Amino acid sequence: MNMRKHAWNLSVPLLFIIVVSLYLIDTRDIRGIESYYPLSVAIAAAVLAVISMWRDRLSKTASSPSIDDESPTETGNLHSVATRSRVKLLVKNPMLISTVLMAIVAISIYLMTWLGFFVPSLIMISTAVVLLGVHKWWKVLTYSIAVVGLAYLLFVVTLNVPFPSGPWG
Amino acid sequence: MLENLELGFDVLFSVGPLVWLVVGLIIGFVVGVLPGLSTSNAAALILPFSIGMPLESALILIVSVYAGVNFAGAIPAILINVPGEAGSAVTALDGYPMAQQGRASYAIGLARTSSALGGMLSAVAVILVLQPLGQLALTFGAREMLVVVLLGLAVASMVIGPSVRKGILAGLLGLLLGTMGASPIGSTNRFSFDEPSLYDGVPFVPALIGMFALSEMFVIVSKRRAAAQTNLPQQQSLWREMVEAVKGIPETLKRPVQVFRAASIGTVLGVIPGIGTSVSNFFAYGVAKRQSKTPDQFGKGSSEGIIASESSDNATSTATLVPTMTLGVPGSATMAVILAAFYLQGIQPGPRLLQTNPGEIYAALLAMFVVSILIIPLGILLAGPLAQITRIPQSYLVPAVIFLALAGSFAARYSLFDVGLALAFGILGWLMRMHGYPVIPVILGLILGPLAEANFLRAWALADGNVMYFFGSATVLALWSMLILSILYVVWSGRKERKSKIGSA
Repeated sequence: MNMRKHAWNLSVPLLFIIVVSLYLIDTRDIRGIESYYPLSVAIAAAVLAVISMWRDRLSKTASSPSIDDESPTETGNLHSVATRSRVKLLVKNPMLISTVLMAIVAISIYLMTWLGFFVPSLIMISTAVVLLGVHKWWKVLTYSIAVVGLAYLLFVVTLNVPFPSGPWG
Repeated sequence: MLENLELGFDVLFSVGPLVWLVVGLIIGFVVGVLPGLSTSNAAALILPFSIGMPLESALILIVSVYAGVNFAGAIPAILINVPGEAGSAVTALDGYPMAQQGRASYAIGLARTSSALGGMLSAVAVILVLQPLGQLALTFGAREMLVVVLLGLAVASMVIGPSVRKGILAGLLGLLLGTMGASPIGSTNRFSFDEPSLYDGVPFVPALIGMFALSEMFVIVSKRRAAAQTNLPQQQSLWREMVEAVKGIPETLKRPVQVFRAASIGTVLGVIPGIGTSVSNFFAYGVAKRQSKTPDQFGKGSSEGIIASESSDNATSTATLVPTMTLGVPGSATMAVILAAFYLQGIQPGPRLLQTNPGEIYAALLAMFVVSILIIPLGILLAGPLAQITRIPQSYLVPAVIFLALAGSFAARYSLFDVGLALAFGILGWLMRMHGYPVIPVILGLILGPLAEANFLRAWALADGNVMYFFGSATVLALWSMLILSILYVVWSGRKERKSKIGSA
């Protein structure tokens, strides 16, 4: 088992240990009765996370990242068009698609502080639809504008939700 | 009880709540047929929009979505062998083979009728037991409530997911995150990293949306779940499908014993927090198979199999309202969303809920009954168009759901921080799901954690240093016994299962 798969198998208990450690550092000044409950929970979580690290190290249940998986996918595309050669790499590797998708969402959220809510959302939907295998530009554009437009009507016009409007406000 | 029922009738049968009931049911139908969007995902997405509504409308909307998804989840299970929600996995065992034999609409008709009957029977049972159980819950003090919360969380953590260890660890993470923000006694700030948005603790809406909806979308992409969509059976004309579906009604009505038995199993198991439809449906299916004169037909397109699974499914969904409404302990992931709806309306769920908001509670229960009746005609009208929805490619669906999830996260507190938090929970939930860690215990821990801590501190103050106080009444001893027995049972049955797996390997 290579290092990458090993790290992937241990990622959840490791993350839990990091959360517990951060918690214990952040709350080290709390004393007395107030500390009993959170400390008990934190210690129980830490112990179980360490046990999980041991048990998960050789786990085969985790859907391991297929970053170095060379085998071709059988029916892996989310859209029939996605079998085109230009997206071959992504179609072969759905873990990579999901990671890129998360990055797109994160960047869109960051952009929302500058450009308002709807423009980054429009960009996010368009890029995500392309990423997931739709490549006809008019389909991508029509769909993205329709979804964002309907959401605008629902949230802003009907429910008066004050979404940040950015420089267009 | 009759007074409360009357109050419930008054609340439900007014224009606003009735409109939300139908709207919720239709939303539930649409969401239910989309593989990947489960009941809790739908309820979590709806939650932010219910904030501005009156409590009764918010509750009725969420329970209608819940019932609608549970019913419609059978459609993709039957058509493409991909359950729209967890409980429908059992329906797929016989529904899909029936669809392959060219009787998909007939299977949907069976599912629709048995689901409706199961829901109605369970709603009647719940209405009858809610008041006495509520009275019993009122006698619970801090120590009893502490054990009840631990019991609910422990059972849920152990039963949900493939591994007891992973379930408990997820529950502990939820409890830990639940301590975030001001402490109950001295208001000391804990684990908030000086972020003002976290001073009141982790906001429920982004946590729910991230853990349920966003993580599910990432998992769909990671696991390429859309593949099954290519296997849709040939569509008949809408009229023909409707006629076929109607034939399922008398077939179900001819089997009252099977319906009653499965609904009873669903109701009893649904009352236990954390059991969920997947467990109770499998149980009801197993019992139906054992009692059947034609057990060899199960798994090959048996009507009895579909009836057992669907009657139990809707009965369980209705019964999960009992621990939620009487104890403030959510019976399922969707009930966790309902509890969050109470918190968002400024109402503390718990044993006093039946005293303070009887009209709303009984209106929600009656809504489950009315929805069960509406399922039959609406289901017949919408069965054909709903089947078409399963054809929507995931490449269009996933970005739209992610966008809706982000918008919903913002709408709860008008905060972009919450949108980022939803993504953080989404990534955490994705990572956990990919490794077989259930996400529901995290949410239950998050909601029940503050309740457990507050009751622990109250009981500790009453105990005055005497630890035996925590075991000092017959009720609390019975609750501790239930907690220990359920842990022992789950550990024992897990070992037995592992041994039988090793034996068969």
